[in-house]
Amino acid sequence: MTLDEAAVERLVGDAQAGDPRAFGRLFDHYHASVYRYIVSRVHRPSDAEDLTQLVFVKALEALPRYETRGIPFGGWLFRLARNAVIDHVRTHRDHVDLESAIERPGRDAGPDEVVAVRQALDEVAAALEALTDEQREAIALRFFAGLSAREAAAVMGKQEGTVRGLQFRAIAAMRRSLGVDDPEAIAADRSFRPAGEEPIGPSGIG
Amino acid sequence: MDEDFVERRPADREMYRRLDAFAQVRLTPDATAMARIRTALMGQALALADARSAALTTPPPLPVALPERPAIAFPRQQRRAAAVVLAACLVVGIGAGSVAASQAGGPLYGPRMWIEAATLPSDPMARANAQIGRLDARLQEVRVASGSGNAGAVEAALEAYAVIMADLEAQTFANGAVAVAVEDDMARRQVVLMGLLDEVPAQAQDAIQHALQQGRNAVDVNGVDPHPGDPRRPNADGQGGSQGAGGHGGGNQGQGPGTGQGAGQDQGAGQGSGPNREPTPDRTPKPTKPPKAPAADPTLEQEPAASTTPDGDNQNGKGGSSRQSESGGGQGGPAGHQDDD
Repeated sequence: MTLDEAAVERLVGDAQAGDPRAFGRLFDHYHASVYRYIVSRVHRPSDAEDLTQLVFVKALEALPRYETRGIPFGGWLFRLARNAVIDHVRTHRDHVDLESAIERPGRDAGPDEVVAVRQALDEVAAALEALTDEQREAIALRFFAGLSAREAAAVMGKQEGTVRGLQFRAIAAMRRSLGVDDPEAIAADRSFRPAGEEPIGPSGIG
Repeated sequence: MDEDFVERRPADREMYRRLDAFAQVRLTPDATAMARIRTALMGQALALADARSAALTTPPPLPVALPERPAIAFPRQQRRAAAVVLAACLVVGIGAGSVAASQAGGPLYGPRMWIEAATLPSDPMARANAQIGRLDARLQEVRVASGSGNAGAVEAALEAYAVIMADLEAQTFANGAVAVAVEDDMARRQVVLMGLLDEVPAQAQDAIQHALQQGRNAVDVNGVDPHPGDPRRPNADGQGGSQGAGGHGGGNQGQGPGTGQGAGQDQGAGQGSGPNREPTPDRTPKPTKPPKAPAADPTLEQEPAASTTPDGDNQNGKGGSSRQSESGGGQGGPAGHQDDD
């Protein structure tokens, strides 16, 4: 579901005026990116589903008090998501690493290419785990949630340039970790691409 | 695409591609879970909207001449505390009352079902998944109400179950992709419901039979055997046939068994308007608890006769019958579905 910023603001206005359908459309627009951000931070899909619901419940309750004030609705929503994640991590210290925790259906052995793709994704997960917390958050907001640098900066409470720097250093670290600096390695690693996967760039609402 | 993601070097481009693939494969939300969350949220949004509009439409109290404050009055702080306690009691009371009233069989149960239905997502797949979630909720209500012997609540929950099944039937009939996605889920709920036959109070037997029949109709549209491993194949009215979805074969004028209308006409051909698929009886889970045949249920007692009744003649004689009954009429084409009568 694609909505431009003006359409989102119109929906927000309608939802503030008490139109539940407008809130439903906002949910349709944002739920996948909010979930992706949360699951990349808390790792367990079941926890991420609970937190996604919590974020939207909080948004529903706080919507009458929401004012744009330079922060777009998406930034405001992801700030709620970030706070929910921080609270969750604070109270659930037992979280495990991304590599091993994310539930993957059909993890039994399959064809060679499936195994290769799975291995490549595991390597990405490991490289993400090796980042600093701030770098990982920048990557989650920019790539998994699809926020702009400005929105990500608003969510993290940092300057836009700082977020760009975090992203730059995170990508560089992951390149090193995955050996992507080597052009031959890139050319050789064509098995990575999952079937039907083509687009390049941030996922989600971008 | 964000200008930041325009690659400056192949290595960056490769990293973006990998991250994107990672997000798509590992971080994609489960559609069913999201549909459930959406349904819950919409219910909450509606309740909030109603509460706000009620607050707005309540006229302000008319000014009345208050009597002079008595000489001995409670201190302001005490009055404030008492007001807070009173308000809290009121909120808790209203909340508890509303929750109780919206339980199955309660006076607000109908409005609650209406709100749930009104707030279903418009996307067919998400809607079907949400409906499956609602079926689970109704089954849970049936269990709880049966456990407490509340026949009225059981009936209300079963009636709601039948309505949801009817909606799913319409959806699956109209949309083949939805049918493929939810057929197993629907069949499983049918099996669970059959397992509850013995648990529901006697007064609710009619309701559960109706719900089962509605489920059978819905699953029939989907082409899944709704009675896995059940040779009795209950048919409530003996009219003998479903509107077979998607058989290539000609019409099968089966002579329906039973004491009711009896000779129902199974038009079973379904010339392409329904989902046209292979029957998938093997994927249907076996009932964990085969339903007993209660003596009070005449429809179940008729069933053995139904299973042994041979199919009627084949009028068109082209593709054979679309039915695949135990008596073996099934030379139906690839889309032949299993009839339940």
